[in-house]
Amino acid sequence: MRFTLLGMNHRTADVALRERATLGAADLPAALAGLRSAFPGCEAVVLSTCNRTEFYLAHPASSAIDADALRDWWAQRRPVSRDELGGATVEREQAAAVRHLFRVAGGLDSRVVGEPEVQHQVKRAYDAACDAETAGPVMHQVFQATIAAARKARRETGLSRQSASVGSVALQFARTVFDTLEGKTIGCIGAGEIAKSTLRRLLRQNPQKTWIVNRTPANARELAGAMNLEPPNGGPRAWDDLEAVVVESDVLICATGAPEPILAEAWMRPLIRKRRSRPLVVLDLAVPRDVEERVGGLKNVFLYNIDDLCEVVDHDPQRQQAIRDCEQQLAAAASTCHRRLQHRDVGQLVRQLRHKMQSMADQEQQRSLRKLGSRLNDDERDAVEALLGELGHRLINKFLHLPLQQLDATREDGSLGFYAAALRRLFDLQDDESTDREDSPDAHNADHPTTSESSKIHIKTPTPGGHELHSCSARPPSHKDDNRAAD
Amino acid sequence: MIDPVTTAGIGLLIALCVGATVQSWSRLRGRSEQAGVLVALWSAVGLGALALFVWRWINTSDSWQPLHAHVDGLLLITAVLVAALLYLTTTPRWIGVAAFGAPVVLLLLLWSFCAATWTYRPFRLDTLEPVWTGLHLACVYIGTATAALAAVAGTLYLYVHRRIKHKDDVEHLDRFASLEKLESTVQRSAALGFALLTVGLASGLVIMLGDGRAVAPGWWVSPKVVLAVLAWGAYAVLMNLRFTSTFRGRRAAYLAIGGFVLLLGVYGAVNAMPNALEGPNDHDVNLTAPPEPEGRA
Repeated sequence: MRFTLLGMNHRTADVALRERATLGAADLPAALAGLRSAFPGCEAVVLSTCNRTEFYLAHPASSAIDADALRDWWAQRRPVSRDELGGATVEREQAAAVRHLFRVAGGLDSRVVGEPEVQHQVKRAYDAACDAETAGPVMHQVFQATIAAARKARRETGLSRQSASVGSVALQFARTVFDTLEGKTIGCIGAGEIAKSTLRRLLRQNPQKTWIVNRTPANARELAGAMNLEPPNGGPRAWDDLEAVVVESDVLICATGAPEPILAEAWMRPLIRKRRSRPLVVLDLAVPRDVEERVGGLKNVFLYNIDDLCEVVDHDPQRQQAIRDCEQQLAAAASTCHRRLQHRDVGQLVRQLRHKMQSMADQEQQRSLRKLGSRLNDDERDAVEALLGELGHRLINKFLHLPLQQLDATREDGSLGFYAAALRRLFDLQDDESTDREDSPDAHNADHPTTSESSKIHIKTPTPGGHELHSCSARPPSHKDDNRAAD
Repeated sequence: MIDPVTTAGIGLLIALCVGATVQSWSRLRGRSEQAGVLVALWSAVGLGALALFVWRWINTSDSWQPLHAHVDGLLLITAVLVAALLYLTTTPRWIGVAAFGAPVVLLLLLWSFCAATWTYRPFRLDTLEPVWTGLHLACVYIGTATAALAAVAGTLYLYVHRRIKHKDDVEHLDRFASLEKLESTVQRSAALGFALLTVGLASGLVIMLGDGRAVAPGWWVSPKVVLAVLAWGAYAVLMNLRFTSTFRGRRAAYLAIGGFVLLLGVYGAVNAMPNALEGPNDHDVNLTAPPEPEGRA
């Protein structure tokens, strides 16, 4: 199986294009189902955040995915043209794709380098793919390793402690206008992860009041409860109170998943007049944007959107060092993960090869038995059949012993890929999962070459720290086990 | 009287101020991060102005009053303003204040140079009530210094506001004081300036009403009085309307700058027009003595 990435991110596309191309959380199940039907036999995970929309696909080597076909599929679902996507998307394969995913999960590819939210977003994307049954053994292996490695690297390098999250940058922006948030009122539109982390950061500055407005009141109540916000010092407000919250607030955080802007310039203008020249800092952290760009032109309104975060550079040398360390750790972990992916690939090939040779041996055995014909009675026939069967099995084992030993000793990614390609070519092997399922009584074990007995290969790949990476034995939650069985 | 020590001293201060201005703008643009040279230069300017002021008080005055000519007042303003700028420069997030204060200090020093040479004219302290005159001059000059500080903070406010609005170099915006802090500085400086100018105007009024010989009829419509009242009015508006929605933020900054410009206008009128206190009914009486012939002490 080949691991492929196609997507756009904040480096390749501006926010206006990204917000048109993004797939919201509500669109994700349909998008994954669409991918499954458009590219049968592929595993797929869609990572859609404010900074990126990326498609991770695992497909058999024999049936390569056409990137243009995927762009066409994308362009049909979002108001973007294929040409726009062509100029703003990146494609990566195998090791580069795995490395990219590890960097993304570690927050190293984010606008605010080191931000922690993306780690949760990667996990949610993986969960969504599992729910939609588009994540198979390859995705389980890669994404579980990614999430575990990102968490470990961030913890060990101290990046999680020094994280310049969106919240901290938002606070920095707010402090260009307000000296302190004490005595100020914060309004938060949206109750998602970004809103939560930003609020958590701002609440440390002891604002006087904090209001949370959300279309789903239950979510607003839940977030207010998590933040210990109770009247009169804040709490959830009904969606109908949005105007009042805008008039009352000094800092307004917008982080909803709405596909269209919530705060339009025409709607805001009379509200700004009601504010009587009090400055208003609007932090639009959503993609697609929640606030029309023209709102920033209103008097006493200071609008920052997610693109402005990229301008913020953390000059703290400790943090830079932590980022470098994290980068190294994740590169090593990505390399290990990719190697495992290749070993897994080779293990499947070996199983197919063994299966093919066994079929040939069985055919020859039947032919020999037919030639002996009636010269043997039933007992002799059984004995000869057993003997030939054992002979075939022993011959196969002896033929395969040396090449498998060589493969086991191979540590370089490039060599493994070469051997895998050579095996496929020389023995006309297909890259699919059918052999796994046929050969192994337990499809779950067959997913893992490190434990599969049938392959006879025992590839042990230690991580740089001497520990095994996260177990790749499929997803732990019980309700997801059904998905795994389907794999 | 052209005093060579004073003129040479002010000339040196101008040179130092030019250096400090260049350093301040260089730091503002991020080309120089070191504050040491900047602080040293500004300290030299401030201490130099103060030293010159004290030297003139000791050597050129025969009374207890330190302010006996316009140049003394300008040197005093310079020293006070530079002290305030130095304090703010060494405070975190006040990186631009020296850059915007530098032109004002330079202007004051250039004016001091003119006032010490070509337009030198000592005050008529002998004919006026000395206590009221001392109070009047001190309040007006120190009030002007705080008004200058309000104008500098107002200019910085407009600069930072523009950068925030245009999202210009946002990663370095945290080097500047917040708009709220700048607005508060404008208001506090203006409040102090307003109080001092009010006392200065009131004491000036007492002097004029108390000594009928000093002013001519119609003095209340003379350029000096009209401009002084206008400047005072600007500050009155700034102070009394600051809590209303109309005069916050940029408008308060513009008002602070406008008030300071009006004050400069008052000084300009006083210096440029020898009979600045005369109204429509011409009289040759004013608060400043005619220029003394060169060579006389």
